[in-house]
Order: sequence, then structure tokens, then C-alpha cells
Amino acid sequence: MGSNLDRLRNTNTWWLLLVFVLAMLIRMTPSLKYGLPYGFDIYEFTSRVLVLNEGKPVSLPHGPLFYYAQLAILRIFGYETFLTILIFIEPLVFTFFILPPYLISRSFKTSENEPMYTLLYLAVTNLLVHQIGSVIIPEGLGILFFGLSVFFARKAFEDLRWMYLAMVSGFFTAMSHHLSVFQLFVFFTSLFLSYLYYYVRYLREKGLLRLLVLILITIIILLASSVSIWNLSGEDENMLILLSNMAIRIRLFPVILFAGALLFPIVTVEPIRFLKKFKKFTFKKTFILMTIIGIALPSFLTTIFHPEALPTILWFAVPISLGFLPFAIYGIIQYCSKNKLSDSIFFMAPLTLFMIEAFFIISLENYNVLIHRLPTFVIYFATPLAGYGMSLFSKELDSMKKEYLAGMIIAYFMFSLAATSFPKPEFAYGVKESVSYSELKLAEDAYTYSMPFNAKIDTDTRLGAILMFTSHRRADWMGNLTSWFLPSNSWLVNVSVTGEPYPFKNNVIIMVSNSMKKIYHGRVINLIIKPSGPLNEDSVNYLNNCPGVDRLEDVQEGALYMNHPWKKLNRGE
Amino acid sequence: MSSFLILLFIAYEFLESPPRDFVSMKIIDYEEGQQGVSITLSISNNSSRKSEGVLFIMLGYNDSTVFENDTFYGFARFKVFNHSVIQILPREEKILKIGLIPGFGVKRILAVYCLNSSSPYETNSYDPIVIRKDEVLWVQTWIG
Repeated sequence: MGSNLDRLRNTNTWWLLLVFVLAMLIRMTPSLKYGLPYGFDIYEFTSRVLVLNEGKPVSLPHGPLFYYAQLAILRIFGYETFLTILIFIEPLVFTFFILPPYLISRSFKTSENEPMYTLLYLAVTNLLVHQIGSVIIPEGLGILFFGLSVFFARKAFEDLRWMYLAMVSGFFTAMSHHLSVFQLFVFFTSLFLSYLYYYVRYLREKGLLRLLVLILITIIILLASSVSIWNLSGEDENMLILLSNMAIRIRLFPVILFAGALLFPIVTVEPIRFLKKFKKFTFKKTFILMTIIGIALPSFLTTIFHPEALPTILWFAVPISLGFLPFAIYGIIQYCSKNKLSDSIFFMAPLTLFMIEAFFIISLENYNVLIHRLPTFVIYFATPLAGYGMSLFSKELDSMKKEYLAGMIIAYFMFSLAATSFPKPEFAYGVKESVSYSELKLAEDAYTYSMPFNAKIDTDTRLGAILMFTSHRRADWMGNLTSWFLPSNSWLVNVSVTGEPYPFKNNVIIMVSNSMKKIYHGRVINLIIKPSGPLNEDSVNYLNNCPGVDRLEDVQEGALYMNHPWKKLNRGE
Repeated sequence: MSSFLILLFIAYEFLESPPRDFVSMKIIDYEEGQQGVSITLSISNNSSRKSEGVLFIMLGYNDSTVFENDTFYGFARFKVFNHSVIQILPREEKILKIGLIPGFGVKRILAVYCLNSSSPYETNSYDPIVIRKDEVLWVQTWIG
């Protein structure tokens, strides 16, 4: 007979296992539903793997690790099994990538903390479900090493040697994904500046100084590896050039950077001391405040500046603002008030810098849409604090009635977080993420048609990714849609922006999908920093009724159009 | 409770699964001469079930229009030249060569394949023909 403590541990293990299985099930849902890889990006990435497999050179825009890992699977198992693994096994493997924040939560020294709540958040929060496991992308791998680096850095406060593992993990982050390593760079910079201030102002200790030196070395390693890897990617996809372009647009950038480095540690460290004295900040107040800040404010700003994005903002903001944010903020406040200043800085400094980064990106004209990439990293990093907030909330309930009611409400919050993981186009800024078998066939046939006529294929980023996949990147995809810098020469993109169709060239096949049409709440997907819109009724009518525009193929989900002269080309005239 | 609700959500997602089977139609060749016009069509049945539908060849004049909304296609002021029932076995690709002599004023030729062979479509009519999008495939080519 085991002790009561043993029984409790066993029960906890079963609960943890149940939550993790739930995390796997949610992430497997799109694969089982569609029978194809979910999200269209993976087709573009896999197309590069197929080219590598043919022994040909191809640029790798995110760092080589993801692509070479896929290549190894392809070489070992062959094409058919590779696809099966990609669709059904990799979502399960990627689910394990949610574990680093859970490990961080386990390392909390506060007795009230229940790491299971952190795991529950990691399992169901929409952005984490979507980005880690549901779509198989380099960001998933990058976020794993990002999380491991944060975990090792935290352990380094107990034993400096963990910092060496953080360096290795940081290097692998750079090898995996550009944005993940950028966020890791932001994380370590925030730690360095804040702990340097803490060292100078509060605690001149040799151990801390050594740690600061190691953090600085990690930052240098991250910078060096990022720069070298970003330079390996094609000129049109070079993240270094993108960042330089963004920086050049702001004339006062060096001044802002310098002033920020001086002021940032003060605005981070001093408020934590203030929070320690401010214990009256109850969950009720936090909840009311976060509901206002998390729902009302974004809705108001979006309605004024980008009304077309309101359904998307509400789709994600409401569940996160009700189910995640209040618990995360409550967790931060309570963590700071109950732990040492040096311990609290580890969470407050990066979160503050992430917020500053978000406001900075929003202020950048032409690049402010990139803001949608940050929440996943911020939520991933803040999950242990949200779990901690939830633990405190559940411990503060003092009656069965309250526990029952709170349990019902929290169950609904968790449900709403999970149920918003796979938005339909009308709630995802017009982006349809799933791909159908008929669209694969359409892309295959577009390539087949294009070869005898030496024709270019004009389509959007979504179908373009599929075209690259089916043609092993041999198709002449018009529009330079993979380029971050060149303007689009795509008829579809231009017509979607202006709403006014015009004649297109003779040697072009227009590949249209329902996912681009306004009547289906769709959009001609362009790179996120470039303009695009939906195909309106006039444009569709033009393709269907303009004399000379032949409709070559129909697969129900989409169609191919080409100007009449294709028939002459066909006869070699 | 959370787990139960999330399992319900997963079940609902599966209920919404789109069909994986589909039929496609394309023009693979076209010839135009003094004897008339010849179009070669390919209809592929990419499913595990037999497909039986009706293939309409329609002629469009100057004022002919194709319109669509989220549910229907409409073919207005087209004349149905002929129609025939086509059966395609699972995974089969059927190649059909169609020859016709377009009369005066014909601007375009449409091949419309209705997946539901029992639907009552009027032939030899200039009235708009309205067909559900999920029951039809169509391709077209312009003459001259």
C-alpha cells in the first residue's frame, strides 16, 4: 500500500498524461480531417526539400535544420512514407515541443504552483495549438529551441554550467528559424541589460557577473550564427536585409536604441519593487482590467485603423483576453510579490521588451502587419505565469460552490481557447489554410499546361506554394511572391487590390481557387507585408466572360484560365 | 469538463470534414478548320465511386453570360448543342473528342459536365440554366 502522497502523485501523473494526450489529439485534428498536411506553407518548405533530394541547390530562408531533418526522413523512408510521416507523425512529435515552458513551471519554488495548469494552457491555447504541431513549420522547431534556451538560462541561475547548454540551444534556434532566434536575441538582451542594472545598483556579486559575461557571449553567438545563416538564404528572402530596411526607415534608430538600452532596465527592475508592495491587486481587479485592455482596446483601435481585420482580432482576442491574459497578469503580479527581485526580473524583463518590440513594430509603416507573429512567442514564454495565476486562483476558492462555478467557467475558457485554433477564412483575414486534393491536381495540371507553351503561372502565395511542391520548384511562378522586396507583377494580386480587371498577357496561365474569391470570404494571398485583397465579382466575371479568355480546367475548388492564343501555340504556329 | 468540451470540438471538426473525392474536367486539345471545330476533353474521376453525369455542349452567342454566386453557376442565353450521359469508373480518365460546326454568330463553346445525371435540365433552350456548383464542372473556349 502506498502512502497518500504516492497516490496523489499517481493521480497527478494520470492527469498530466490526459492533458498531453488531449494536446496531441487537437494537433492531429486537421491532419485527420483533411488527410493532407495542414497549412499551405509546408508545401513551399517541402518543395525545397524535394529539390535538395534531387541534389540541386536551393535557398533555405529559415536556417537549414528543419529542411535537412525532413530530407533525412525522405531519404530514409522514401517519398510515400515521408508524406505519411509529415501528415500523421510529425504533429505528434511537434506536440512535445510545448514541454519547455512546462519544465520552467516545474522549477518554480512557490508551493502554490500546479505545473499541470501550465501544461493545460500549452495544450489548448489557440496560437500554440496552431503554430506548434497543427502546422509543421520551421517556427515549431525554432520555438522548441527558443523554449529550451529559456529553460537552460533559468537553470543557469542555480548552476552556471547550464548556460553552455543555452548557448548550444541558441545556436540550434538560429539554425531552425529566423524569427525564433530574433526573439531569443531579444530575450537574452533584456536579461543582460536588466541584470547588469541589478548588478550595478543592488547586488555586486561575482556569480552574477560571471552569468552576465556568459549571457553576453550567448548574445554574440546568436548574432554571429544568425547573420551567417540569414546570409545563406536567397537575396529576396534575407532577414538581415529586411531588418536593415526597417531600421533605415527610422532616422533616429541609433538614438532610440541607445536611449532604450539605458532606460529599459530602469523601467523593468523598479516596477517589480513597486509590485512587491502592491499586494491588493486581486484576481477580480486583474480580470476586469484585462478584459477592458484585451478586448475593448484592440477592438476600438482595429475598428478605426483596420476595420477589415476586426473579425480576426475578435476571434483570437476574446478567448485569450478572457481565458489566458487575466491569469497570466495575475500570475506575474503574484510571482513578483512573492519571489526575490532577482528571480522576478527573469520574467518581467523579457515580457517588457517583448511589449516594447510590439509597439515598435506597430509604429513601422509597411511592416506593422508583422505584429501577428509576436503573440505566439509572448504567450509561449508567459504560459508558466498563466499556469501559476490559475493555480493561485484555484487555491483561493474557499467553498465547493465557488469551485464548481469557477470550474465550469474555466472549462469554457479552455474550450474557447482550443476551439479557435483553426479559424475559417472569414476569421483569419481571408486566409484559407487547409488544402484540398483537387487543388493539388489543379497545380499539377497548371504546370503540365505551362511546359509546352513555356507559360508563366500567375497565382497567389497559397496556391503558389502548392505549385512549387507539385513541380519541385520547376514551374515559372509569376509575381515574385516569395520576395520580400520586389513589387508584385501578378495580375491576380493587382486586380485583387484595385478591384478592376484588365487584359493579361498571352503566355500566362491564371490559376484561381475559390479561396481567393470574395463570395467565399477569401483573399488572394500575398506576402503579409504586401497589399492584396479578394477577387471580387467583376474580376470573376471578367475571367468567365471576357472574349478570348479560355477556361481550360475545372476541378470544382478552382480553375485554370488562359488567353485564346494557347490553341495556336498548341499547334506550333 | 474541459477535456469533454474539447473532445466535442474535435468530434465537430471531423463532422465538417470535406470530401476527398472529386471529378475534374479539362480541355486537352482544340482544332479549328474549314470542317468545323474539334475539342478534346479529359474528364477524370478521382474517387473510389463510379461517376455518372451528363455532358452538355453549349454554344454561346454575343450576349451569352456565365454568372456565379457562392452556391450556383448560371449559364444565360446559351444554346444546348447536344448532351449525353457519361459514365466514368473510379480512378478512370475519359478522353472525349467532340466535333461540331458552329453556326453563324457563335462566339464560344462550353462543355458543362453535370455530376448528377438525374437532374432535369431543359435542352434546346435559351433560358438561364442554373446548377449547383457542387454538381457541375465546366470549361470553355472562344472561337476564332
